[in-house]
Amino acid sequence: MSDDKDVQVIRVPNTLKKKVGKGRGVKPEMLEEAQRKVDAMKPEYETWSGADLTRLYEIYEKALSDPGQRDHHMTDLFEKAHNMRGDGGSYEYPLVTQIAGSLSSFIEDTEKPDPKDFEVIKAHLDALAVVIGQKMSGDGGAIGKVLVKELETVVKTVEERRKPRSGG
Amino acid sequence: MHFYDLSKISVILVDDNHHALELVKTILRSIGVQHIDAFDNAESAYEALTRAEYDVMIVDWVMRPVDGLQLVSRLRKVDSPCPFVPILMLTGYTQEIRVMRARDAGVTEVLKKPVSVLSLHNRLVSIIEHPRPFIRNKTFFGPDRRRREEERRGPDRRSSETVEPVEHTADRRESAGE
Repeated sequence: MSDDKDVQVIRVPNTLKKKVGKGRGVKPEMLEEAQRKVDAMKPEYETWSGADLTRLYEIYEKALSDPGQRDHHMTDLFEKAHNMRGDGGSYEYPLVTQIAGSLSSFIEDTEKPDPKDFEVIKAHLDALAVVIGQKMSGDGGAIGKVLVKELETVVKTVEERRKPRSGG
Repeated sequence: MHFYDLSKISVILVDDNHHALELVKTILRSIGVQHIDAFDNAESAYEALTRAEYDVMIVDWVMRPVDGLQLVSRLRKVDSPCPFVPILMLTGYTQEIRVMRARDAGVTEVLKKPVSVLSLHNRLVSIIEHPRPFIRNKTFFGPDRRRREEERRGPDRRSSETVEPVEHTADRRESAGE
């Protein structure tokens, strides 16, 4: 690329390294202590993730019943789901991360949601309700696998339905 | 055996998700970081950055009204109070194209959520041990995006000028403004 000739490389002094001193990390005991603190936050997470889910249902109802403000509500729904995706795995709830991730990706790919799209969104909320309500941490065992598989099928069906429209 | 002492570094943390903010603060405190300023919006964080000097910024991507990417772009500008601050971007996005967008905005490292003790610690180690040189060309200013590429291809073939640096905030401003 001709632009390469105009490149300036700036090497900034590593003041951070000077401040933290020798080594390549903190003491293992500190990491263990940090993990203990995060583990201790799990019961709290189980409480507020339930509140997050309630909020998701509220926003979903608004998006469904208020077409005039639908874009705004869909943005709210995306952001809430996106946050839940980011939170779950930190507290041993990878299923919340997986399902909320699937939901936020689906919303992002949905420009103007139709009734079928709302069914897909509702299926995600109901799956989250099972995981959070039953405190299904880890992979959720057999029920967890079925939930994820069913959601994947529902999303795939809707995406297949969209293909001819976008290709035509 | 030597280990880091993180008590002297200052971290600015920006995330509009209160729970995520608490999690990251908890981990940072546990590993010895004592000076943490946390904000739930980009504007307040920018204000803080004009008043104080931080060693690392940790910022979430999806925020309103100004998102993390816009904040990073603003910080990698000529008039920025801290053009060279190492920036760790947290994101729930998992696609590689998102990581590339973050790098294009001037992010130093990306950490995909969910955050864990080890993933956050290891990204900090990476920032401390392997600082990226900064690149300025006609269209980009920020940490070198080509590090990984170079590792695969061998030596850097760019004709470049290496500028020896700049330790104080005022000097940093001057250098970035060239």
